[in-house]
Amino acid sequence: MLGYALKRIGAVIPLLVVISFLTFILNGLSPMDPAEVVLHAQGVPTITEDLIAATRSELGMDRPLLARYWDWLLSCLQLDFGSSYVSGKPVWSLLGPALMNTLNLTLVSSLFIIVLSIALGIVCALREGKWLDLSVRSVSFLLTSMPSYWLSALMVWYFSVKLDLLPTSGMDSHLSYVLPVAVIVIGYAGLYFRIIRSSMLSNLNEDYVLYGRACGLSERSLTIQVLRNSLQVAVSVFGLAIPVILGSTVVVENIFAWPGLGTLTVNSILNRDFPIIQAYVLVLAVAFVLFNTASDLLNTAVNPKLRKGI
Amino acid sequence: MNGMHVLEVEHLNIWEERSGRVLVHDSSFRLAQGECLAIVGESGSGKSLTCKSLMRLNRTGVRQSGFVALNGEDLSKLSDKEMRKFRGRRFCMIMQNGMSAFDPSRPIGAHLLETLGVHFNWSRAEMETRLTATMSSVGLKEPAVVMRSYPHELSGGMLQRVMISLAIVLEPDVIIADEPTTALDAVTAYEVVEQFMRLRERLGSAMIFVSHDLGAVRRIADNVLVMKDGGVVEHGTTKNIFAGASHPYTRYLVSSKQAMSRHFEQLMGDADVAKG
Repeated sequence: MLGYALKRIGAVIPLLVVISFLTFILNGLSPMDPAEVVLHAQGVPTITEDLIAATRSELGMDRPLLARYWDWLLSCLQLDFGSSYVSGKPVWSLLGPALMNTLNLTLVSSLFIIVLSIALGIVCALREGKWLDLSVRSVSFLLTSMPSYWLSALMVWYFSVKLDLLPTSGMDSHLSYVLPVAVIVIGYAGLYFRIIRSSMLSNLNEDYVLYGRACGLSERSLTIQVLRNSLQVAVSVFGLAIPVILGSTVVVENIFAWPGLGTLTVNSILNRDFPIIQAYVLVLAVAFVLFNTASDLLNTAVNPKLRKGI
Repeated sequence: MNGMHVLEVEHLNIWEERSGRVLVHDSSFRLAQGECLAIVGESGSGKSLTCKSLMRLNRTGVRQSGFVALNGEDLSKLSDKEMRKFRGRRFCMIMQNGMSAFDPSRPIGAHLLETLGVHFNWSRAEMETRLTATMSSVGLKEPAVVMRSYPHELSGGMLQRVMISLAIVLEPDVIIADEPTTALDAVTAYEVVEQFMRLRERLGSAMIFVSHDLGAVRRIADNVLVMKDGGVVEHGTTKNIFAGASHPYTRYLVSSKQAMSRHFEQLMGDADVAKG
Protein backbone atom coordinates (compact mmCIF):
# COMPACT_ATOMS: atom_id res chain seq x y z
CA MET A 1 0.00 0.00 0.00
CA LEU A 2 2.78 2.41 0.92
CA GLY A 3 4.63 1.56 -2.29
CA TYR A 4 1.49 2.19 -4.31
CA ALA A 5 0.94 5.51 -2.54
CA LEU A 6 4.47 6.64 -3.35
CA LYS A 7 4.08 5.52 -6.97
CA ARG A 8 0.79 7.35 -7.29
CA ILE A 9 2.24 10.52 -5.77
CA GLY A 10 5.28 10.22 -8.01
CA ALA A 11 3.02 10.13 -11.08
CA VAL A 12 1.56 13.46 -10.02
CA ILE A 13 4.83 15.35 -10.51
CA PRO A 14 5.06 15.15 -14.35
CA LEU A 15 1.36 16.04 -14.48
CA LEU A 16 2.00 19.15 -12.39
CA VAL A 17 4.91 20.12 -14.69
CA VAL A 18 2.64 19.89 -17.75
CA ILE A 19 -0.07 21.89 -16.02
CA SER A 20 2.34 24.59 -14.95
CA PHE A 21 3.79 24.85 -18.47
CA LEU A 22 0.34 25.17 -20.02
CA THR A 23 -0.56 27.83 -17.47
CA PHE A 24 2.66 29.66 -18.27
CA ILE A 25 2.15 29.80 -22.02
CA LEU A 26 -1.51 30.75 -21.52
CA ASN A 27 -0.29 34.31 -21.05
CA GLY A 28 1.23 34.41 -24.51
CA LEU A 29 -2.13 33.54 -26.07
CA SER A 30 -3.68 36.83 -25.00
CA PRO A 31 -4.11 39.34 -27.83
CA MET A 32 -2.60 42.17 -25.76
CA ASP A 33 1.08 42.57 -25.07
CA PRO A 34 1.58 42.25 -21.28
CA ALA A 35 3.97 45.20 -21.37
CA GLU A 36 1.21 47.33 -22.85
CA VAL A 37 -1.21 46.13 -20.16
CA VAL A 38 1.24 47.13 -17.44
CA LEU A 39 1.66 50.60 -18.93
CA HIS A 40 -2.11 51.02 -19.26
CA ALA A 41 -2.63 49.87 -15.72
CA GLN A 42 -0.03 52.29 -14.39
CA GLY A 43 -1.85 55.12 -16.15
CA VAL A 44 0.99 56.13 -18.50
CA PRO A 45 -0.55 58.79 -20.78
CA THR A 46 1.24 58.14 -24.10
CA ILE A 47 2.54 54.68 -24.86
CA THR A 48 5.38 54.64 -27.38
CA GLU A 49 7.12 51.66 -29.02
CA ASP A 50 10.30 52.51 -27.08
CA LEU A 51 8.47 52.53 -23.80
CA ILE A 52 6.91 49.11 -24.54
CA ALA A 53 10.33 47.69 -25.45
CA ALA A 54 11.83 49.10 -22.25
CA THR A 55 9.03 47.60 -20.15
CA ARG A 56 9.41 44.26 -21.90
CA SER A 57 13.08 44.00 -20.98
CA GLU A 58 12.31 45.26 -17.48
CA LEU A 59 9.79 42.38 -17.09
CA GLY A 60 12.32 39.96 -18.61
CA MET A 61 10.08 39.19 -21.57
CA ASP A 62 12.83 39.40 -24.18
CA ARG A 63 14.49 36.23 -22.87
CA PRO A 64 13.86 32.76 -24.35
CA LEU A 65 10.55 31.06 -23.39
CA LEU A 66 12.05 28.06 -21.57
CA ALA A 67 14.42 30.21 -19.52
CA ARG A 68 11.50 32.39 -18.50
CA TYR A 69 9.44 29.30 -17.67
CA TRP A 70 12.21 27.86 -15.51
CA ASP A 71 12.60 31.08 -13.54
CA TRP A 72 8.85 31.39 -13.17
CA LEU A 73 8.52 27.79 -12.00
CA LEU A 74 11.25 28.19 -9.39
CA SER A 75 9.68 31.31 -8.00
CA CYS A 76 6.21 29.72 -8.05
CA LEU A 77 7.53 26.94 -5.85
CA GLN A 78 8.39 29.63 -3.33
CA LEU A 79 4.88 31.05 -3.69
CA ASP A 80 6.31 34.05 -5.56
CA PHE A 81 3.93 34.50 -8.47
CA GLY A 82 5.22 37.96 -9.38
CA SER A 83 3.41 41.20 -8.79
CA SER A 84 -0.04 42.32 -9.78
CA TYR A 85 0.08 44.48 -12.91
CA VAL A 86 -2.56 46.75 -11.46
CA SER A 87 -1.72 47.31 -7.82
CA GLY A 88 1.93 46.28 -7.96
CA LYS A 89 1.49 44.16 -4.82
CA PRO A 90 2.91 40.63 -4.74
CA VAL A 91 0.32 38.18 -6.17
CA TRP A 92 0.53 35.85 -3.19
CA SER A 93 -0.33 38.64 -0.76
CA LEU A 94 -3.63 38.98 -2.65
CA LEU A 95 -4.20 35.38 -3.64
CA GLY A 96 -3.14 33.72 -0.37
CA PRO A 97 -5.81 35.24 1.92
CA ALA A 98 -8.45 34.94 -0.83
CA LEU A 99 -7.56 31.27 -1.28
CA MET A 100 -7.85 30.65 2.44
CA ASN A 101 -11.28 32.35 2.57
CA THR A 102 -12.56 30.34 -0.37
CA LEU A 103 -11.02 27.14 0.99
CA ASN A 104 -12.82 27.73 4.31
CA LEU A 105 -16.11 28.28 2.52
CA THR A 106 -15.55 25.23 0.30
CA LEU A 107 -14.51 22.88 3.07
CA VAL A 108 -17.35 23.89 5.39
CA SER A 109 -19.80 23.47 2.50
CA SER A 110 -18.25 20.15 1.43
CA LEU A 111 -18.50 18.80 4.95
CA PHE A 112 -22.21 19.58 5.04
CA ILE A 113 -22.70 18.25 1.51
CA ILE A 114 -20.99 14.96 2.35
CA VAL A 115 -22.81 14.43 5.64
CA LEU A 116 -26.18 15.44 4.21
CA SER A 117 -25.82 13.42 0.99
CA ILE A 118 -24.77 10.27 2.81
CA ALA A 119 -27.52 10.60 5.42
CA LEU A 120 -30.25 11.33 2.87
CA GLY A 121 -28.89 8.72 0.46
CA ILE A 122 -29.06 5.99 3.10
CA VAL A 123 -32.47 6.95 4.44
CA CYS A 124 -34.00 7.22 0.95
CA ALA A 125 -32.48 3.94 -0.24
CA LEU A 126 -33.78 2.07 2.81
CA ARG A 127 -37.24 3.62 2.35
CA GLU A 128 -37.28 3.33 -1.42
CA GLY A 129 -40.63 4.27 -2.94
CA LYS A 130 -42.13 5.24 0.44
CA TRP A 131 -43.38 8.76 1.07
CA LEU A 132 -40.16 9.85 2.79
CA ASP A 133 -38.06 8.90 -0.23
CA LEU A 134 -40.50 10.54 -2.62
CA SER A 135 -40.77 13.78 -0.66
CA VAL A 136 -37.01 14.14 -0.11
CA ARG A 137 -36.42 13.56 -3.80
CA SER A 138 -39.04 16.03 -4.96
CA VAL A 139 -37.96 18.78 -2.53
CA SER A 140 -34.32 18.33 -3.46
CA PHE A 141 -35.21 18.35 -7.14
CA LEU A 142 -37.04 21.64 -6.66
CA LEU A 143 -34.16 23.22 -4.72
CA THR A 144 -31.42 21.95 -7.02
CA SER A 145 -33.20 23.36 -10.05
CA MET A 146 -33.11 26.88 -8.62
CA PRO A 147 -30.25 29.00 -9.98
CA SER A 148 -27.87 29.85 -7.12
CA TYR A 149 -28.01 33.62 -7.67
CA TRP A 150 -31.79 33.58 -7.40
CA LEU A 151 -31.77 31.32 -4.37
CA SER A 152 -29.15 33.61 -2.76
CA ALA A 153 -31.28 36.69 -3.38
CA LEU A 154 -34.33 34.94 -1.97
CA MET A 155 -32.51 33.85 1.17
CA VAL A 156 -30.92 37.25 1.76
CA TRP A 157 -34.33 38.86 1.42
CA TYR A 158 -35.97 36.47 3.87
CA PHE A 159 -33.33 35.71 6.50
CA SER A 160 -31.35 38.96 6.46
CA VAL A 161 -33.81 41.66 5.47
CA LYS A 162 -37.16 40.40 6.69
CA LEU A 163 -36.14 38.45 9.79
CA ASP A 164 -32.85 40.30 10.34
CA LEU A 165 -31.21 37.13 11.63
CA LEU A 166 -28.12 36.88 9.46
CA PRO A 167 -25.69 39.31 7.84
CA THR A 168 -26.40 40.06 4.17
CA SER A 169 -22.79 39.90 3.08
CA GLY A 170 -19.13 39.97 4.09
CA MET A 171 -17.13 37.64 6.29
CA ASP A 172 -17.34 39.04 9.79
CA SER A 173 -18.41 36.17 12.05
CA HIS A 174 -19.44 32.53 11.96
CA LEU A 175 -22.94 33.70 11.12
CA SER A 176 -21.64 35.02 7.81
CA TYR A 177 -21.06 31.45 6.71
CA VAL A 178 -24.69 30.40 7.06
CA LEU A 179 -26.19 31.83 3.88
CA PRO A 180 -23.37 31.17 1.37
CA VAL A 181 -22.86 27.66 2.75
CA ALA A 182 -26.61 26.99 2.58
CA VAL A 183 -26.75 28.09 -1.07
CA ILE A 184 -23.77 25.92 -2.05
CA VAL A 185 -25.03 22.91 -0.07
CA ILE A 186 -28.50 23.14 -1.61
CA GLY A 187 -26.97 23.28 -5.08
CA TYR A 188 -24.82 20.19 -4.67
CA ALA A 189 -26.33 17.96 -1.99
CA GLY A 190 -29.40 17.26 -4.14
CA LEU A 191 -27.10 15.93 -6.82
CA TYR A 192 -24.78 13.85 -4.67
CA PHE A 193 -27.38 12.23 -2.44
CA ARG A 194 -28.90 10.75 -5.59
CA ILE A 195 -25.58 9.12 -6.44
CA ILE A 196 -25.33 7.62 -2.94
CA ARG A 197 -28.98 6.51 -3.07
CA SER A 198 -28.73 4.74 -6.42
CA SER A 199 -25.42 3.15 -5.45
CA MET A 200 -27.01 1.90 -2.21
CA LEU A 201 -30.00 0.53 -4.12
CA SER A 202 -27.92 -1.37 -6.63
CA ASN A 203 -25.89 -2.84 -3.77
CA LEU A 204 -29.04 -3.80 -1.84
CA ASN A 205 -30.09 -5.96 -4.79
CA GLU A 206 -26.76 -7.78 -4.88
CA ASP A 207 -26.55 -11.48 -4.13
CA TYR A 208 -24.35 -10.95 -1.09
CA VAL A 209 -27.21 -9.18 0.69
CA LEU A 210 -29.53 -12.10 -0.04
CA TYR A 211 -26.93 -14.61 1.12
CA GLY A 212 -26.20 -12.55 4.24
CA ARG A 213 -29.90 -12.50 5.01
CA ALA A 214 -30.18 -16.23 4.30
CA CYS A 215 -27.37 -16.78 6.81
CA GLY A 216 -29.36 -14.89 9.45
CA LEU A 217 -27.18 -11.77 9.59
CA SER A 218 -28.89 -8.73 11.11
CA GLU A 219 -30.26 -5.95 8.90
CA ARG A 220 -27.93 -3.55 10.67
CA SER A 221 -24.87 -5.53 9.72
CA LEU A 222 -26.10 -5.85 6.13
CA THR A 223 -26.74 -2.11 5.91
CA ILE A 224 -23.17 -1.47 7.03
CA GLN A 225 -21.86 -3.84 4.34
CA VAL A 226 -23.98 -2.15 1.68
CA LEU A 227 -22.92 1.27 2.87
CA ARG A 228 -19.24 0.44 2.77
CA ASN A 229 -19.54 -0.82 -0.79
CA SER A 230 -21.63 2.16 -1.84
CA LEU A 231 -19.22 4.66 -0.33
CA GLN A 232 -16.52 3.59 -2.75
CA VAL A 233 -18.46 5.39 -5.45
CA ALA A 234 -18.97 8.33 -3.12
CA VAL A 235 -15.26 8.74 -2.35
CA SER A 236 -14.39 9.27 -6.01
CA VAL A 237 -17.36 11.53 -6.55
CA PHE A 238 -16.60 13.71 -3.54
CA GLY A 239 -12.88 13.76 -4.35
CA LEU A 240 -13.71 15.51 -7.60
CA ALA A 241 -16.59 17.53 -6.14
CA ILE A 242 -14.44 19.50 -3.71
CA PRO A 243 -12.21 21.16 -6.36
CA VAL A 244 -15.28 21.73 -8.55
CA ILE A 245 -16.92 23.60 -5.68
CA LEU A 246 -13.64 25.44 -5.07
CA GLY A 247 -13.70 26.69 -8.64
CA SER A 248 -17.37 27.47 -8.88
CA THR A 249 -17.97 29.65 -5.85
CA VAL A 250 -17.64 32.73 -8.11
CA VAL A 251 -21.37 33.50 -8.22
CA VAL A 252 -21.97 32.94 -4.53
CA GLU A 253 -18.86 34.90 -3.53
CA ASN A 254 -19.84 37.87 -5.66
CA ILE A 255 -23.38 37.95 -4.28
CA PHE A 256 -22.31 37.69 -0.65
CA ALA A 257 -19.20 39.86 -1.13
CA TRP A 258 -17.06 37.00 0.16
CA PRO A 259 -13.44 38.12 -0.04
CA GLY A 260 -12.38 34.94 -1.80
CA LEU A 261 -10.88 33.63 -5.02
CA GLY A 262 -14.04 34.12 -7.05
CA THR A 263 -14.27 37.81 -6.30
CA LEU A 264 -10.54 38.32 -6.83
CA THR A 265 -10.49 36.47 -10.14
CA VAL A 266 -13.47 38.24 -11.64
CA ASN A 267 -11.84 41.59 -10.84
CA SER A 268 -8.50 40.40 -12.24
CA ILE A 269 -10.09 39.18 -15.45
CA LEU A 270 -11.83 42.52 -15.93
CA ASN A 271 -8.48 44.33 -15.38
CA ARG A 272 -6.47 41.81 -17.44
CA ASP A 273 -4.23 41.31 -14.41
CA PHE A 274 -2.42 38.29 -15.88
CA PRO A 275 -0.15 37.24 -12.97
CA ILE A 276 -3.17 36.82 -10.70
CA ILE A 277 -5.18 34.88 -13.32
CA GLN A 278 -2.15 32.70 -13.98
CA ALA A 279 -1.63 31.97 -10.31
CA TYR A 280 -5.36 31.27 -9.86
CA VAL A 281 -5.42 28.76 -12.71
CA LEU A 282 -2.29 27.08 -11.37
CA VAL A 283 -3.56 26.87 -7.79
CA LEU A 284 -6.90 25.44 -8.90
CA ALA A 285 -5.32 22.90 -11.24
CA VAL A 286 -3.01 21.76 -8.45
CA ALA A 287 -6.01 21.47 -6.13
CA PHE A 288 -7.79 19.25 -8.68
CA VAL A 289 -4.78 16.98 -9.00
CA LEU A 290 -4.26 16.74 -5.24
CA PHE A 291 -7.89 15.98 -4.38
CA ASN A 292 -8.11 13.45 -7.17
CA THR A 293 -4.96 11.70 -5.97
CA ALA A 294 -6.20 11.73 -2.39
CA SER A 295 -9.54 10.16 -3.38
CA ASP A 296 -7.72 7.52 -5.43
CA LEU A 297 -5.57 6.59 -2.46
CA LEU A 298 -8.58 6.52 -0.14
CA ASN A 299 -10.48 4.32 -2.58
CA THR A 300 -7.59 1.91 -2.84
CA ALA A 301 -7.48 1.72 0.92
CA VAL A 302 -11.16 0.73 1.22
CA ASN A 303 -11.56 -1.38 -1.93
CA PRO A 304 -9.68 -4.69 -1.85
CA LYS A 305 -10.26 -5.24 -5.57
CA LEU A 306 -8.22 -2.16 -6.46
CA ARG A 307 -5.57 -3.14 -3.96
CA LYS A 308 -4.99 -6.40 -5.81
CA GLY A 309 -3.35 -4.77 -8.82
CA ILE A 310 -0.65 -3.07 -6.74
CA MET B 1 -38.62 -39.14 12.48
CA ASN B 2 -40.43 -41.97 10.77
CA GLY B 3 -43.33 -40.75 8.70
CA MET B 4 -42.80 -37.18 9.85
CA HIS B 5 -41.95 -34.60 7.24
CA VAL B 6 -39.20 -32.11 7.83
CA LEU B 7 -40.73 -29.59 5.51
CA GLU B 8 -44.31 -29.28 4.42
CA VAL B 9 -45.41 -26.76 1.82
CA GLU B 10 -49.08 -26.51 1.01
CA HIS B 11 -50.89 -24.23 -1.42
CA LEU B 12 -47.99 -21.84 -1.75
CA ASN B 13 -48.97 -18.84 -3.83
CA ILE B 14 -46.58 -16.04 -4.76
CA TRP B 15 -47.65 -12.90 -6.53
CA GLU B 16 -46.46 -9.42 -7.35
CA GLU B 17 -48.15 -6.89 -5.11
CA ARG B 18 -48.37 -3.98 -7.53
CA SER B 19 -49.52 -5.74 -10.70
CA GLY B 20 -51.24 -8.67 -9.03
CA ARG B 21 -49.38 -10.98 -11.43
CA VAL B 22 -49.21 -14.52 -10.06
CA LEU B 23 -45.66 -15.90 -10.09
CA VAL B 24 -46.21 -19.26 -8.39
CA HIS B 25 -49.66 -20.76 -7.92
CA ASP B 26 -50.85 -23.46 -5.60
CA SER B 27 -47.58 -25.31 -5.19
CA SER B 28 -47.46 -28.13 -2.63
CA PHE B 29 -44.69 -30.57 -1.74
CA ARG B 30 -43.17 -32.34 1.23
CA LEU B 31 -39.68 -33.24 2.22
CA ALA B 32 -38.85 -36.24 4.43
CA GLN B 33 -35.83 -36.46 6.69
CA GLY B 34 -32.72 -36.94 4.56
CA GLU B 35 -34.62 -36.64 1.29
CA CYS B 36 -33.22 -34.72 -1.63
CA LEU B 37 -35.83 -33.04 -3.77
CA ALA B 38 -34.76 -31.53 -7.06
CA ILE B 39 -36.77 -28.67 -8.50
CA VAL B 40 -36.27 -28.39 -12.25
CA GLY B 41 -37.77 -26.17 -14.88
CA GLU B 42 -36.86 -23.37 -17.23
CA SER B 43 -35.83 -19.86 -16.15
CA GLY B 44 -38.77 -17.91 -14.78
CA SER B 45 -40.73 -21.01 -13.84
CA GLY B 46 -40.70 -20.00 -10.17
CA LYS B 47 -38.02 -22.33 -8.82
CA SER B 48 -35.94 -19.67 -7.07
CA LEU B 49 -39.01 -17.80 -5.87
CA THR B 50 -40.30 -20.97 -4.26
CA CYS B 51 -37.00 -21.48 -2.43
CA LYS B 52 -36.78 -17.88 -1.27
CA SER B 53 -40.35 -17.89 -0.01
CA LEU B 54 -39.60 -20.87 2.26
CA MET B 55 -37.21 -18.56 4.13
CA ARG B 56 -39.41 -15.49 3.56
CA LEU B 57 -36.62 -13.88 1.58
CA ASN B 58 -38.48 -12.55 -1.43
CA ARG B 59 -37.86 -8.88 -2.17
CA THR B 60 -40.39 -6.28 -1.08
CA GLY B 61 -43.30 -6.09 -3.47
CA VAL B 62 -43.51 -9.87 -3.79
CA ARG B 63 -46.16 -11.41 -1.51
CA GLN B 64 -46.80 -14.99 -0.55
CA SER B 65 -49.55 -17.06 1.05
CA GLY B 66 -49.95 -20.71 1.96
CA PHE B 67 -48.73 -23.08 4.63
CA VAL B 68 -45.02 -23.66 5.16
CA ALA B 69 -44.01 -25.76 8.16
CA LEU B 70 -40.62 -26.87 9.37
CA ASN B 71 -40.80 -29.94 11.65
CA GLY B 72 -44.45 -29.18 12.17
CA GLU B 73 -43.89 -25.52 13.11
CA ASP B 74 -45.89 -23.05 11.02
CA LEU B 75 -43.33 -20.55 9.68
CA SER B 76 -45.86 -17.94 8.64
CA LYS B 77 -46.66 -17.36 12.33
CA LEU B 78 -43.07 -16.42 13.18
CA SER B 79 -42.08 -12.79 13.71
CA ASP B 80 -39.29 -11.38 11.53
CA LYS B 81 -36.87 -11.71 14.42
CA GLU B 82 -37.74 -15.35 15.03
CA MET B 83 -37.53 -16.03 11.31
CA ARG B 84 -34.05 -14.56 11.22
CA LYS B 85 -32.91 -17.09 13.80
CA PHE B 86 -34.23 -19.87 11.55
CA ARG B 87 -32.27 -18.57 8.58
CA GLY B 88 -28.84 -20.11 8.53
CA ARG B 89 -29.45 -22.29 11.57
CA ARG B 90 -32.46 -24.34 10.39
CA PHE B 91 -32.46 -23.45 6.71
CA CYS B 92 -29.18 -23.07 4.92
CA MET B 93 -28.96 -21.55 1.48
CA ILE B 94 -26.23 -22.22 -1.04
CA MET B 95 -26.14 -19.65 -3.78
CA GLN B 96 -25.68 -20.00 -7.49
CA ASN B 97 -22.78 -17.65 -7.92
CA GLY B 98 -20.16 -17.75 -5.19
CA MET B 99 -18.43 -14.74 -6.73
CA SER B 100 -21.31 -12.41 -5.87
CA ALA B 101 -22.50 -14.17 -2.72
CA PHE B 102 -19.96 -12.59 -0.38
CA ASP B 103 -19.40 -8.96 0.54
CA PRO B 104 -16.64 -7.88 -1.88
CA SER B 105 -15.03 -5.61 0.73
CA ARG B 106 -14.59 -8.18 3.47
CA PRO B 107 -12.47 -11.28 3.75
CA ILE B 108 -14.51 -14.51 3.48
CA GLY B 109 -13.70 -15.38 7.09
CA ALA B 110 -15.48 -12.27 8.38
CA HIS B 111 -18.76 -13.47 6.89
CA LEU B 112 -18.29 -17.01 8.19
CA LEU B 113 -17.43 -15.92 11.72
CA GLU B 114 -20.24 -13.39 11.83
CA THR B 115 -22.76 -16.03 10.73
CA LEU B 116 -21.59 -18.50 13.37
CA GLY B 117 -21.59 -15.69 15.94
CA VAL B 118 -25.29 -15.07 15.24
CA HIS B 119 -26.27 -18.69 15.84
CA PHE B 120 -23.84 -20.11 18.39
CA ASN B 121 -22.14 -18.99 21.56
CA TRP B 122 -18.79 -20.37 20.51
CA SER B 123 -15.47 -18.68 21.12
CA ARG B 124 -13.63 -17.37 18.10
CA ALA B 125 -11.02 -20.10 18.40
CA GLU B 126 -13.71 -22.78 18.45
CA MET B 127 -15.42 -21.33 15.37
CA GLU B 128 -12.11 -21.24 13.54
CA THR B 129 -11.27 -24.82 14.50
CA ARG B 130 -14.63 -26.08 13.25
CA LEU B 131 -14.47 -24.07 10.02
CA THR B 132 -10.92 -25.17 9.30
CA ALA B 133 -11.83 -28.82 9.82
CA THR B 134 -14.87 -28.71 7.55
CA MET B 135 -13.08 -26.70 4.90
CA SER B 136 -10.35 -29.30 4.67
CA SER B 137 -12.99 -32.01 4.48
CA VAL B 138 -14.58 -30.44 1.38
CA GLY B 139 -11.21 -30.18 -0.34
CA LEU B 140 -10.17 -26.61 0.41
CA LYS B 141 -6.45 -26.97 0.85
CA GLU B 142 -5.43 -23.97 2.92
CA PRO B 143 -8.41 -22.99 5.09
CA ALA B 144 -6.51 -20.22 6.89
CA VAL B 145 -5.57 -18.59 3.58
CA VAL B 146 -9.13 -18.96 2.28
CA MET B 147 -10.50 -17.27 5.41
CA ARG B 148 -8.21 -14.30 4.86
CA SER B 149 -9.01 -14.04 1.14
CA TYR B 150 -11.43 -11.63 -0.47
CA PRO B 151 -14.11 -13.16 -2.73
CA HIS B 152 -12.42 -11.97 -5.93
CA GLU B 153 -9.25 -13.81 -4.96
CA LEU B 154 -10.98 -17.23 -5.01
CA SER B 155 -12.59 -19.23 -7.81
CA GLY B 156 -16.32 -19.91 -8.14
CA GLY B 157 -15.80 -23.56 -7.24
CA MET B 158 -13.83 -22.68 -4.11
CA LEU B 159 -16.52 -20.23 -2.97
CA GLN B 160 -19.14 -22.90 -3.57
CA ARG B 161 -17.15 -25.18 -1.25
CA VAL B 162 -16.88 -22.41 1.32
CA MET B 163 -20.70 -22.17 1.36
CA ILE B 164 -20.96 -25.94 1.65
CA SER B 165 -18.53 -26.02 4.56
CA LEU B 166 -20.46 -23.26 6.33
CA ALA B 167 -23.60 -25.38 5.89
CA ILE B 168 -21.81 -28.35 7.44
CA VAL B 169 -20.86 -26.34 10.51
CA LEU B 170 -24.39 -24.93 10.84
CA GLU B 171 -26.04 -28.39 10.60
CA PRO B 172 -29.39 -27.13 9.28
CA ASP B 173 -32.60 -29.14 8.96
CA VAL B 174 -33.00 -28.19 5.32
CA ILE B 175 -30.36 -27.18 2.81
CA ILE B 176 -31.55 -25.13 -0.12
CA ALA B 177 -29.15 -25.11 -3.04
CA ASP B 178 -30.26 -22.63 -5.69
CA GLU B 179 -28.65 -23.71 -8.97
CA PRO B 180 -25.32 -24.36 -7.25
CA THR B 181 -23.60 -25.67 -10.36
CA THR B 182 -24.91 -23.30 -13.03
CA ALA B 183 -22.07 -20.79 -12.75
CA LEU B 184 -19.34 -23.43 -12.75
CA ASP B 185 -17.49 -25.18 -15.54
CA ALA B 186 -18.42 -28.82 -16.16
CA VAL B 187 -15.59 -30.44 -14.23
CA THR B 188 -15.90 -28.17 -11.20
CA ALA B 189 -19.67 -28.67 -11.27
CA TYR B 190 -19.14 -32.41 -11.21
CA GLU B 191 -16.91 -32.12 -8.16
CA VAL B 192 -19.31 -29.77 -6.40
CA VAL B 193 -22.19 -32.21 -6.91
CA GLU B 194 -19.92 -34.83 -5.38
CA GLN B 195 -19.54 -32.56 -2.33
CA PHE B 196 -23.31 -32.18 -2.12
CA MET B 197 -23.76 -35.93 -2.08
CA ARG B 198 -21.24 -36.25 0.74
CA LEU B 199 -22.88 -33.38 2.57
CA ARG B 200 -26.18 -35.29 2.53
CA GLU B 201 -24.57 -38.45 3.77
CA ARG B 202 -22.79 -36.59 6.51
CA LEU B 203 -25.56 -34.41 7.88
CA GLY B 204 -28.65 -36.37 6.96
CA SER B 205 -30.34 -33.02 6.27
CA ALA B 206 -33.13 -32.75 3.80
CA MET B 207 -32.12 -30.91 0.67
CA ILE B 208 -33.80 -28.91 -2.05
CA PHE B 209 -31.64 -28.89 -5.14
CA VAL B 210 -32.74 -26.39 -7.77
CA SER B 211 -31.06 -26.99 -11.06
CA HIS B 212 -31.11 -26.79 -14.83
CA ASP B 213 -28.57 -29.55 -14.84
CA LEU B 214 -30.52 -32.78 -15.23
CA GLY B 215 -27.28 -34.76 -15.11
CA ALA B 216 -26.61 -33.47 -11.61
CA VAL B 217 -30.24 -34.00 -10.63
CA ARG B 218 -30.11 -37.62 -11.67
CA ARG B 219 -27.03 -38.21 -9.57
CA ILE B 220 -28.20 -36.54 -6.40
CA ALA B 221 -31.99 -36.36 -6.15
CA ASP B 222 -34.46 -38.89 -4.73
CA ASN B 223 -37.48 -37.03 -6.04
CA VAL B 224 -38.03 -34.47 -8.73
CA LEU B 225 -40.49 -31.61 -8.89
CA VAL B 226 -40.98 -30.15 -12.34
CA MET B 227 -42.18 -26.56 -12.54
CA LYS B 228 -43.45 -24.64 -15.53
CA ASP B 229 -44.91 -21.11 -15.61
CA GLY B 230 -45.24 -20.96 -11.82
CA GLY B 231 -47.03 -24.26 -11.42
CA VAL B 232 -45.99 -27.80 -10.48
CA VAL B 233 -46.50 -29.99 -13.55
CA GLU B 234 -45.00 -33.19 -12.22
CA HIS B 235 -43.73 -34.65 -8.97
CA GLY B 236 -42.26 -38.14 -8.77
CA THR B 237 -39.23 -40.22 -7.98
CA THR B 238 -36.13 -39.48 -10.01
CA LYS B 239 -36.18 -42.95 -11.49
CA ASN B 240 -39.73 -42.65 -12.75
CA ILE B 241 -39.22 -39.15 -14.11
CA PHE B 242 -36.20 -40.18 -16.14
CA ALA B 243 -37.66 -43.51 -17.19
CA GLY B 244 -41.04 -42.35 -18.34
CA ALA B 245 -42.57 -39.05 -17.36
CA SER B 246 -46.28 -38.60 -17.74
CA HIS B 247 -46.29 -34.90 -18.51
CA PRO B 248 -45.20 -33.94 -22.06
CA TYR B 249 -43.12 -31.02 -20.76
CA THR B 250 -41.07 -33.31 -18.53
CA ARG B 251 -40.57 -35.76 -21.39
CA TYR B 252 -39.39 -32.86 -23.51
CA LEU B 253 -36.90 -31.74 -20.82
CA VAL B 254 -35.52 -35.24 -20.33
CA SER B 255 -35.18 -36.04 -24.00
CA SER B 256 -33.42 -32.80 -24.90
CA LYS B 257 -31.08 -33.32 -21.96
CA GLN B 258 -30.24 -36.83 -23.06
CA ALA B 259 -29.51 -35.79 -26.61
CA MET B 260 -27.23 -33.01 -25.48
CA SER B 261 -25.27 -34.71 -22.77
CA ARG B 262 -24.50 -38.11 -24.27
CA HIS B 263 -21.07 -36.99 -25.32
CA PHE B 264 -20.34 -35.22 -22.03
CA GLU B 265 -21.43 -38.19 -19.95
CA GLN B 266 -19.06 -40.40 -21.87
CA LEU B 267 -16.23 -38.02 -20.99
CA MET B 268 -17.16 -37.82 -17.33
CA GLY B 269 -17.63 -41.59 -17.25
CA ASP B 270 -14.04 -41.90 -18.38
CA ALA B 271 -12.97 -39.49 -15.67
CA ASP B 272 -14.76 -41.65 -13.10
CA VAL B 273 -12.92 -44.69 -14.31
CA ALA B 274 -9.62 -42.83 -14.17
CA LYS B 275 -10.30 -41.66 -10.60
CA GLY B 276 -11.50 -45.02 -9.38
